[in-house]
Amino acid sequence: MMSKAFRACGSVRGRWIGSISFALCGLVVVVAELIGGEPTGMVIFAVALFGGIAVFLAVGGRSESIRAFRGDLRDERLDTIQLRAQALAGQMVILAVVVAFLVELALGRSGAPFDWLGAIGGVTYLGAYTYGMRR
Amino acid sequence: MKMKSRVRQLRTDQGLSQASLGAALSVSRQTINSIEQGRYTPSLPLAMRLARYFDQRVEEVFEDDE
Repeated sequence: MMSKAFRACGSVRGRWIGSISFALCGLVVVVAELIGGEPTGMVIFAVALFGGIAVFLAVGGRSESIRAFRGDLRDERLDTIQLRAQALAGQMVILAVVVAFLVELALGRSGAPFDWLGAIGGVTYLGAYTYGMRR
Repeated sequence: MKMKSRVRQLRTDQGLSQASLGAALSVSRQTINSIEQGRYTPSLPLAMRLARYFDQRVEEVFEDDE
């Protein structure tokens, strides 16, 4: 079986996929803002932010850090870094959801929508943990 | 557990750069650097691949830092 460590490192296609994915995310945000009637300034800000990052990633040169971030350079260590970063980001989001839920309760409200968000996080965690333990 | 490695010594003995060793093993230059600095302990498959590349046994390339 081929290990993660031996996957192809770097590709021109990967470079563009990373950049175009970011641009598409920006496009979705802009469309949502336009549908919601956001002020023009917010739309311009979103275009500048996502477009700027997409261009930066596309022309980011040969830096390994940038190549790893945009997804066209991978190995087992970079995968581990990515996994840890995602786990930390997930923990921060869960923490924010729990705090917001408690604040909502303390204000005498139902806790929505943070109750559902917390439940999704908890069920996903338990499912992933159970799956991992059974492998 | 931290591991000491002889990767730097083996690499320089062969006149290889970190980038060329990384390319030969399909890992990044930064990963080779991290292994040499003892900041990253490679997986068993990568450790075996490194050892085979230098025609050594794994325990000749890596040792416990205890």
